[in-house]
Amino acid sequence: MKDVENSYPKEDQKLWLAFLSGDEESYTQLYKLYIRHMYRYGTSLVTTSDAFVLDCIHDVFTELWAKRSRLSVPDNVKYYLLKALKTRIMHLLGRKERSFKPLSDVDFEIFEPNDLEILEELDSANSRQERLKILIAQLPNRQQEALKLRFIENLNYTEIGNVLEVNTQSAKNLVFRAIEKLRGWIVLPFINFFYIFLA
Amino acid sequence: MKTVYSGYTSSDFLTDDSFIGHQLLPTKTSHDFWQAWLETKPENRGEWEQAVFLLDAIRLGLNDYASTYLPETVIAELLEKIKLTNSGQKETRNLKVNFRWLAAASIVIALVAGSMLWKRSGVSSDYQAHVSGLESAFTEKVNTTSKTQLIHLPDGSTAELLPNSKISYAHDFNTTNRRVFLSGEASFEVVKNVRKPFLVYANKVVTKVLGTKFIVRAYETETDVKVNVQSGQVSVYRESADDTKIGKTLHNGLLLLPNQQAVFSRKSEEFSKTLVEEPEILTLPAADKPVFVYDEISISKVFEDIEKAYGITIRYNKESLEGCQLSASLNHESFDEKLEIICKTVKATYQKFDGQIIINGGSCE
Repeated sequence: MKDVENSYPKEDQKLWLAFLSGDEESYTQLYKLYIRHMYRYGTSLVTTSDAFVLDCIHDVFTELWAKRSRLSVPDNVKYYLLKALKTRIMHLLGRKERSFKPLSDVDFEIFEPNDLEILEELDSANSRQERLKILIAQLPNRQQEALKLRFIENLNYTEIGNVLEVNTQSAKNLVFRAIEKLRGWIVLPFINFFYIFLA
Repeated sequence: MKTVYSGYTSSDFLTDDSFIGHQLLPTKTSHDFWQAWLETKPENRGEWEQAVFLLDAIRLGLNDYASTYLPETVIAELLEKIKLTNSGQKETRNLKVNFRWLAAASIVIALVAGSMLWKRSGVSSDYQAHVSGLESAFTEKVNTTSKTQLIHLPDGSTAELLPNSKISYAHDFNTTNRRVFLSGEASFEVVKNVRKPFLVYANKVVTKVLGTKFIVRAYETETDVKVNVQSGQVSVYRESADDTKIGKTLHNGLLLLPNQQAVFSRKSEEFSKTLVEEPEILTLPAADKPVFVYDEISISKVFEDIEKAYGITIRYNKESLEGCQLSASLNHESFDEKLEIICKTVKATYQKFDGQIIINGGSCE
């Protein structure tokens, strides 16, 4: 299975190729295909206004248009656009990914809430979806970002590593730790409950 | 059969691109692979199932993220803006070609000048044209903050100016008439003065009032201009070269009543009349205010109350709804909720058309 190639939409690359040769219609289609993904990812990165994210998306697309004669076709168009958006956002905010710090530092869970606090918050939720959302929100930001990129945006771990400016293994470690934590919260009570129920 | 996945825990599966890829977007190849793998009855099948379970849980927990809402209008507006910028680039490129024989330094200057020209002519044209056309001294208020700003006009009227919006008026405001120029969005509360109409110029649309409360939304970057009435009456026109005609005729214009909204498409230069998104009950004398509590009251009386409270005409088939009654209290419901409840009761549907409500079908058997 390892060698089965990741099947990126071929349609994207055709559109991209047409856009590079100056076809505005294809460019527009790419915009329409990915604007929602870019917007949701962008707004999840920053707490500033939505207008700021929209401005950044504007910059990404206008820059693509300006540079189209010098661009090549990316393997994964969606990854390319999300990465470009993040770069633009970080550039404007004057921030750098803290890639030079070891992951263990960056990811150090100083503010980890205790289980009792989480339980209290969970109590106020009235759906499973709400409860799961609360649990995920307890994770460090970078772990949450990695979860979104892997399980919603469907980027592979190499791409996630590039977005987070760490190597592939570190990207996996981020998700691994998030999963272990979530499993402790979700599955174990679930199994306990299950056993009691069946016994 | 490959044994690469033997000994994998659920967390291991969830850090494997092939596993996740299959769960999110299965292909024939991936389906066949995992099917075959499961048929070997691997001892860690439980972990595999737990991984599937966890993946679903994570996706459910991220559902709010996945379904982040972005309105179509915003998408269209941003695309417009992007294309505008792109066409600006074309201009600067042409400049580069024309001036190729010049020294490098001159090219830089030319490009800067070109982009400045572009900004002046393209981006803030309409408002700029008006303001530069003013003869006498004028006052300009620009809201660069992130909050709404209250502007007091010389005649006692007020304007709540939204962020990134500006308003200006000439020195002689309030002598013959009351004219303001707007770029962006503002909500006006106008002091009544029948002899001096209050005029708002915004992106080719003129809104004329005598005294009322209304909102004009006209950003340079947006394709539509919206005028939205909260009380009183407002007329909107397409701006014509001849100023004296304003107010003399309703030609190319609309009369707006409360809870109605005019949308002017800058592209087609046409107006359409709609209802505001959330109609509100008008300020009426207490005696005229319906209470919206009904006990076996005829539907036509209920519609009459709604029409009176919101100033919105409701058209329905009087014959087919004759004898229909309603028992409900609708005093906490919004305009749309009220209509939904009524329509459900009489098995009808409603639609909004030209600033009115049309009730389709309905019977009370």
